[in-house]
Amino acid sequence: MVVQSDVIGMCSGVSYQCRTVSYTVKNYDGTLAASLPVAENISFSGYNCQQPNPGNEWAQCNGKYSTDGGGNLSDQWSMYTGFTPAGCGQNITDHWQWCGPTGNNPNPGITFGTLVGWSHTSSVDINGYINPPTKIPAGTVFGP
Amino acid sequence: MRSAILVLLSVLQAWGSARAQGTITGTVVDETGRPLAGAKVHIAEKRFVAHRVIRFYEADSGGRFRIADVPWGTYVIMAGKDSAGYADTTFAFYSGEAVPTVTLAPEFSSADVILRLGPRAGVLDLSSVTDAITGKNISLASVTLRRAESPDLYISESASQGAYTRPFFSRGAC
Repeated sequence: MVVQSDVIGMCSGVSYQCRTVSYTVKNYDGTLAASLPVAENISFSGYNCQQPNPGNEWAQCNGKYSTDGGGNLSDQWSMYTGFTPAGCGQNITDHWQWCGPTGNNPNPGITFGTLVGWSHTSSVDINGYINPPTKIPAGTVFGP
Repeated sequence: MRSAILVLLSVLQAWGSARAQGTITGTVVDETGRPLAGAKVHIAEKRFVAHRVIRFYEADSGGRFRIADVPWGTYVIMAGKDSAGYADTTFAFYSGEAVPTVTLAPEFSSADVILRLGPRAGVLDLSSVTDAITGKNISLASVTLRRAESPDLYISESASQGAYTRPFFSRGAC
């Protein structure tokens, strides 16, 4: 997974900030992994805000999620803006994996990229890049 | 007992299927009202979700798009076409909060919207960010822009490649 952009800001239509990271997925030979079904084998832990856990959404092998024609995908980690106490949030371990050839395999396959970090009230950590203030440089590669 | 469980499972399955049958359709147009072919559209439920994947739907040659199997709920609809200078409205910095919102429910299972993008964004070319004292380049400088009329609407990214090649300004002063 090659990082293309890492942007934070106030999300449209809601009252929280989010961090959107766009990736291009490439094969080991450097070619684009275009239009391939993908999913996340993801786990969440350590939620410690006082408010009820609002939950998460993630890509599954159900035929709905795939890289686009340029091998791109975008992932959004939100900040718990307004949650209390300040600094609360959750930990995330996110393995991006290939789905079966038909895209309908209920079980993801081989991991091609792993993201480990957390979302808190005013910052998000992805593989050690805590934003704000530290963005992931474009071109950074995250492997399995 | 087994039959009862099977019936219950069938009912739950039918209920689950029924939940996910809303459809959002629409047309993406530019500032003049012309269809914007190839625009990328996506939706997000209008509630806090800590983690989600952005799933894009491409508008056809007439600017039309269709998103099926949408669970009941209230959704914000966003779009962009960077290659034509229309920044994605994921961030309120670009949309100015002028994003369509629809609610799908059993009695309102479909919605048709018009997504108006534009005017085109400008490009902020930061070929270098330098230290004011030493004059040396600062690599990986973080740049934040806020809308002058709404400072809460901001966007922040890195000048890691020396220059922004994608639209960065939106309507209004920054």
